[in-house]
Amino acid sequence: MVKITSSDNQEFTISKEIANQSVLIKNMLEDVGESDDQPIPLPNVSGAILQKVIEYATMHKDDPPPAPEDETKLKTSEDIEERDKEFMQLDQGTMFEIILAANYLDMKNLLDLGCKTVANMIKGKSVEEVRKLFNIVNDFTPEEEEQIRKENEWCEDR
Amino acid sequence: MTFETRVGELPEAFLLRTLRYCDSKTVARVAQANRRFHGLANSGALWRHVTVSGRSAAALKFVEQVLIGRAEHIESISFESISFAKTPKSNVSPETFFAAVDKLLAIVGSKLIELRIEDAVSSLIPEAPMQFRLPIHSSLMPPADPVSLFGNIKLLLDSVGRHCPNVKKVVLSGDEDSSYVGDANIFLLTQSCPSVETFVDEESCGLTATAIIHMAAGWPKLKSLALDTEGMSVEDFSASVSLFGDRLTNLSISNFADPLDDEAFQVLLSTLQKLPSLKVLAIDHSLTRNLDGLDSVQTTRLLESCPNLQGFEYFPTIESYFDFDDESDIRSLTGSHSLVDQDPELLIDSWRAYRAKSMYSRSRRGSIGSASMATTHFGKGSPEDEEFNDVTSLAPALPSPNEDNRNRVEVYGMWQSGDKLSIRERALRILGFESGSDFFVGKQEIFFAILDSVHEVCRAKGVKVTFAWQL
Repeated sequence: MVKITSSDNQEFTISKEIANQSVLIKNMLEDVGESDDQPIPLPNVSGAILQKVIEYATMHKDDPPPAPEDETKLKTSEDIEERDKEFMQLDQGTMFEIILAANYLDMKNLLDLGCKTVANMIKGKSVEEVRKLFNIVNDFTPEEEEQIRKENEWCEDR
Repeated sequence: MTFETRVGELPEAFLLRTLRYCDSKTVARVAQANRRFHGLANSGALWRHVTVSGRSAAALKFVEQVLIGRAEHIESISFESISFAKTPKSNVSPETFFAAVDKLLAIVGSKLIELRIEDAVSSLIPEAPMQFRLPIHSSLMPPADPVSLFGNIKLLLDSVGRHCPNVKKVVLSGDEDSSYVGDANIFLLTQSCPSVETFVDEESCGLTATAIIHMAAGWPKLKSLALDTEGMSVEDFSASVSLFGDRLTNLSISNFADPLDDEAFQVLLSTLQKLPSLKVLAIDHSLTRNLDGLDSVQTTRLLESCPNLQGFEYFPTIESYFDFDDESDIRSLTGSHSLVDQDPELLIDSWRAYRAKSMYSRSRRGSIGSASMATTHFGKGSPEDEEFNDVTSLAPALPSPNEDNRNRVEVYGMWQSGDKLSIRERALRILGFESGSDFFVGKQEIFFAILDSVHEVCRAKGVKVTFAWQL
């Protein structure tokens, strides 16, 4: 078993196969060796988020190891598993925290799930809706905006 | 603290990765949001793989205004269901469109490694009437549809041949209503793109053994071949695919024109024995007449014919078990091969959904007349069929079809030995059903029995088995 502590000092004890889904933790475990039973500190992740991340890792502990990345492969966000869709039914704040945690903990599958979920959120949205979704401030000058609008005219024409 | 207020903090790599899951149209919209996103959206990594689709006028604009300027990044192009049908807004001819594509491909040139041409006609014309085709080996090939992508594929393949000699992967994907690509176009491709390593015929491209012989002669590096063998006899398949010898490491096939009876199965096995390097074998039985799937004896013989096999992918006849429609007169069908001694009533049920596609594909091959099909096999379901009525209530629980996915939901399952969940539990979960659901009485048991027996044999042989299916 492996002990980890969150930024707010909550301690979790998890099995090694669950811990190893995080490349960060896996590498740490390899560095400190088996005998060390000191908890691993994870100062960038809160207890509440770590709880969710562990829930995800537990759900996926029997998965085959991820296939090596094929750069040329067409990526689709349509292939999210049902259980993962359910897992991602979160308020956007929590989802965002989980994405950051997956990035920090180096959990490829969870990070990909985050990417796909966000990709599905922005698909089919207008420019204004994308800005609203991400709270993006339009910082183009009117000239630039006109230029960019022209450049992307094709995508409104179906 | 909300998602909206902190999106700016999301790592660049994450946003880029997310945009790689988006289509070009979405990327173009995101590019207009602000300077940061404009920069992200123009990063070369997003333009390695591009998809051209839609009505020809919009597709032409996309090629001319967007892709030609980004051609240096492009390594892989998908052409999807481009329609040349004349509408008030769109009257770009195939010649005009493919002239622009030719310009694009001239710049992409030898950097192009993947070409995907998908012509899902039914996605363009949702109400397309069923067409019954003549057999593909007949000299009476149906005329090519002049407004579809496949109908004009020669124009595209000419350009590819002129400019892109390094294409390594070719995917052709049609549907029941697409024009056939035909052997002559494959010959063209083998002559101009000699480096192809992977060829995928996803559905109904109308290729015969002649096309495979061209491939064997023209593609010395071909390692991976996926064929829709539906219109082919197992003998023709054997004579042509054997020519690849020890080149082939991956082979994917579907059902054959004739039922996979003992004799045909033996021919299949002897073909596999001539491909000693085969590492991955996929068999798509989603349309097979052998509707109860491979039994354990067949699976064992199959694996013994491929001594170096590491992976076996099997697409069971899931439609027979999970997709139900109006059909009751199935007793006239013959050819069932039963895996387990089941109540004949259950087998009749499992014919039900299978029938439509099977009859359709058989009629296309001309082995039955369409008239008798219309009367005999497209009748209404019988109202007193209680179980049938019961299972229709499953429908809402099935994953909902997705528009972008051309009304096909891909359900994908994978099992390996050592899994703690049973196959049944896994399959149920992937199908989106609750475990222990009492819907699964009767015919679904056959389905799970097939999965179990194939899994068992593969595990004993140390071959990784994957089950997959589409709903």
